[in-house]
Amino acid sequence: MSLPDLVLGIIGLALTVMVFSYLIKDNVFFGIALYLLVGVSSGFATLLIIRSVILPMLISPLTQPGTQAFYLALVPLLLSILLVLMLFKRGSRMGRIPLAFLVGVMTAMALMGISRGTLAPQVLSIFYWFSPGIVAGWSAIRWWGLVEGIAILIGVVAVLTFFEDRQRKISHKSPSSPLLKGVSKVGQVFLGVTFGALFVGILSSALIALIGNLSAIVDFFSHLFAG
Amino acid sequence: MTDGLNMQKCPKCGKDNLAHMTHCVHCGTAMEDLFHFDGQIETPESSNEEPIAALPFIFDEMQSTPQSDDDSPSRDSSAEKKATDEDGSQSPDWLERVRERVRAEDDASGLLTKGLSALQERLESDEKGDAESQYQAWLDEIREKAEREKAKQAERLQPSPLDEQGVPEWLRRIRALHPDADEGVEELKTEDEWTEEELEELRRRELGDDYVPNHMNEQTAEDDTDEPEEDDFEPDIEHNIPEDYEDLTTAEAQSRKSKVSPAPIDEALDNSPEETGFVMMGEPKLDPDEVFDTKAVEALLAQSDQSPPARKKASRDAEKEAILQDLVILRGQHEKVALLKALISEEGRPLPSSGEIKTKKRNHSRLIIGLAFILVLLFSIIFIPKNMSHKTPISVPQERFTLHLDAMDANKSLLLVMSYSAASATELEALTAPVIQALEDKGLSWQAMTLRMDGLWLAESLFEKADLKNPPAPVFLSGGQYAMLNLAIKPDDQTELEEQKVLKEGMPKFDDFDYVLLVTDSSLSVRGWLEQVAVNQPSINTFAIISQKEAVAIQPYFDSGQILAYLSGMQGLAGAGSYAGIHQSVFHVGLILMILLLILGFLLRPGSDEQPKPETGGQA
Repeated sequence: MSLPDLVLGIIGLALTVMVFSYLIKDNVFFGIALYLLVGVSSGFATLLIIRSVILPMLISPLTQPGTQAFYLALVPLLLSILLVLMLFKRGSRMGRIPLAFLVGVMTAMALMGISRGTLAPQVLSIFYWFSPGIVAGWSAIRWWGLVEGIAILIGVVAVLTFFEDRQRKISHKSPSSPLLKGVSKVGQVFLGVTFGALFVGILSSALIALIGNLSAIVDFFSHLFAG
Repeated sequence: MTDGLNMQKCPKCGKDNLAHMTHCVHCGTAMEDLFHFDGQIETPESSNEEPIAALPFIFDEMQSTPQSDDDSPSRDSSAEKKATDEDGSQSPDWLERVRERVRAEDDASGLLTKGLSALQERLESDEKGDAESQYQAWLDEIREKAEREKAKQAERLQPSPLDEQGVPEWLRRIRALHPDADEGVEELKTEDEWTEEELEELRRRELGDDYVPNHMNEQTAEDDTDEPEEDDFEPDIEHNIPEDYEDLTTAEAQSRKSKVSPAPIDEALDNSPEETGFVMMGEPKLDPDEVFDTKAVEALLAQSDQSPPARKKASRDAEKEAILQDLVILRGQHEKVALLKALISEEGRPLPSSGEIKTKKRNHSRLIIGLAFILVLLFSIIFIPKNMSHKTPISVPQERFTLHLDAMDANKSLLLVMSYSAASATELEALTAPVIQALEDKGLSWQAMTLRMDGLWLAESLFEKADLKNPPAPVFLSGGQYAMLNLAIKPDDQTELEEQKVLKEGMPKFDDFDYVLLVTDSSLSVRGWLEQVAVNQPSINTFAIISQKEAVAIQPYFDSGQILAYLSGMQGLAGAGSYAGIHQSVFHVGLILMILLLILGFLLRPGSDEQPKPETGGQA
C-alpha cells in the first residue's frame, strides 16, 4: 500500500468514525465531519462555477466589445447585478426582476414539460390497455395486462378521491357521500403501499451504502496488515 | 350656568348671591327674605322658624282628629284652640286661619292635609336646592378664580420685552435669581445693568417670606456637603411648589428637588403667579403626576442663547424624545401584557413534576443496538465468502435492461448522463460499472456528461471501478433541466446566431446519440429528462440506473414505455456480483437485522416516539 493510499485511508476511516459517533449523541466530531463536507463541497462548487460558467459564458464575451455575444452577455450581467442588489435593503425590490424572470421561465417550462412529458403519456398508457384496437389485435387476451390497467385506473381515481375528501375536511365543507368515502379509503390503501415501497427503498439504499463503506474499511485493514 | 338663575343682593355687602342662599357667600351675612310665601305675613325673625318646627305636630293633630272621635269635633277643636291660645301669640295668623277653616269645614280636612303635605315637601325641596345652590356657587367661585389665573398667565406668556442683547425679561429674572448657574449666565450678569441691591430687592419681592439673603444661601450650601456640586447649579424650583407643600421638611424637599408633589386643586388655584413670582416656561399648569426634571431648566437656559430656528429644532428633538419615551413605556407595557397573557394561559396547567425536573437518564440502547448492528455486518463481511452464489429473482425492468444491452450494436452511440451524490455512489457505481464495462467490450462509442458539480470526481471513481483504460472526459452541464432543454431543442440553422452557439460549445449534441443512460439517485432527474429532452428528441431510447429508494417513482414511466428499461438496488446487481463490490449475502443479513429491529421497536416501545396529543377537554 502506497503512502497516499495509507494517508487517505486513515483520513477516510477517521471521518467515518466521526460520523458514526452520532450514535452516541450529537457531538463536535460529527459537526466537524459535517462542516468539512459542506465546506469542501461549497469551495469545489464555487471554483467549478467560475471556471465552467462565469468565465466562458460571461467574462469571455464581455472581452469582445462590439460583437453580438458582447451585447447578449450584458443581459445576464444586468440580471446578476440586480440579483446582487437583494443583499441590500434598498435594492431588494430590484432583485425581484431576475427572480420574476426565473420563476416565469421555470413555470412555463414545468407546465409544458409536465403536460407533454408526464400527463399525456401516462393517460395514454392507461388507455392503451383498454383500447379496442389493441385488445382485438391480440391473438389471445392478455388478462394480466387488463388487470394491471384496471388496477392502475382504480388507484389513480381512488387517490384523487382521497385528496379531494381530505381537502373537504380541511376546508370544513359538507361531508362526502359514503361512496366517495369508501373510494377514499381505497386510495389510502394505495398510498400506504406506495409509501411502504418508498420506505423499503430508502432502507435498502442506506443498507447498501453502509455495507459498501464497511467493506471499504475491511479492505483497507486487510491491505494494511497484508503489507 | 348661572345666567338663568335669580339673584339677590346681600343686604350687607351688596354683592350678588343666588336666590336661595341662606348666607352671603362673600361676607357670610344671613340672607333675609328667604322663605317668602304668598299670603304670608311678615313676622319677626324669631318666629320665622317656629311654624316649620310646629308643622309636624299640627299635621299629626289634623290627621288624628277626625279619626279618633268624630262625635266631638267641637270639643277637640275648642281644646286645640285653647292649647294654641296657651302657646301664646307665637302661632302665625295664617295658621290660625287654617285651623279655623278646618274647624269650620270638617270635610275639607283632607284637602288641607294634602296642602300641608305639599307645603312640607316644598320646604324640603327648598332645603335641598339651597345646598345645591351653595355647592354651585362654590364651583362658580373656583371657576372664576381659574379664569382669572389663566388670564394672568396668558399675560405673562406674552412675549416679554427684550433687552439689547435679545434676552427676554423673564430669562433675566431667572438668571438674576440664580447667579451661579453657569458661565453664560455669569457673563450676562456682569454685563447686566442691575445692581446687587436691585437684585436683592427683586428676590425679596419674588420670594416674599421665603427669601433668604444670598450670603445665607452660600452658608447653607457650604453646610450641605452631602449634596452633589451640580445640584448647586440647578435652578431652584420651589417657587412652583404650592404653599402648603413648602411646609414639608426641608430635607425631603431637597432630596426631591427634581420632583414636584401634587397639590389639591383649590390650593393650587390659590397659588397664583402673584405669590410665586413667576412660572416655568411652557408649564402653566402643574400636573401632579408629572415628573419635573431640573435638566429641563438648564435646557431652557441653553435654548435662550440659541437662534429661533435652533430653538425650534431643540424643541422638536425634545418632543421626539418624549415620544420615544412614550414608545418605550408602551413597549414595556406590551411586554407586561404578553407576560400576563402567558401566565394566564398557563393557569390551571399542572406544574412539571419532580420526576421531570430530574436529569433524564441517558439511554444507551440506541448506541448498543447500532454498534451491535455494525458488528454483525462486519463479521458477515469478513467471514461470509464473496463468491457465494445467490438465486435472486430478476425484475422485469432488469430483464428488459439485459435484453437491450445485449441487443446494442457496436456502431451505435450512447450518452451517459450522471446526476447523483456521493452518498449514493456506492450503490450506483456498483450498478453502472458492469454496464460500462459491457459497453466497452462491445466497442460501443459513448460519452459522459454530469449535471452535478461533484459528478466530475464521482465519474473518475466510477471509471476506476469499471477498470477503464482511456475513459472519455466527463462534461459538466450547468443549468440542469434548462440546459438540457437548450441542448434538446433543434434550432433552425438559418436563424441561430453564431454567437448563440457558444453556449453549446463543447457540449454533446443529442442528435448524435442513439441511447441515453441516466445514472441518478433522484427520480426528478429522470422526470426532467423525459419532460424536457425526450419529448424533443423522440429518436433517443432512454435507459436508467437509479437508486433503490427512487425506483418506485419511475416505475410509471417504465410502464408507459417512456423508459425502455432500468436497473435499481440489489435486484439490479443480480448476475453482476463480480463488479459490484457489494456482498449480497451481507445485504441479506443486514436486511433481516433491520426487519427484526423494526419489529422489536414496534413491540417493545410502542408510542414512545409519538407526539403527545393535545388535551381537548381542557381544565376547569
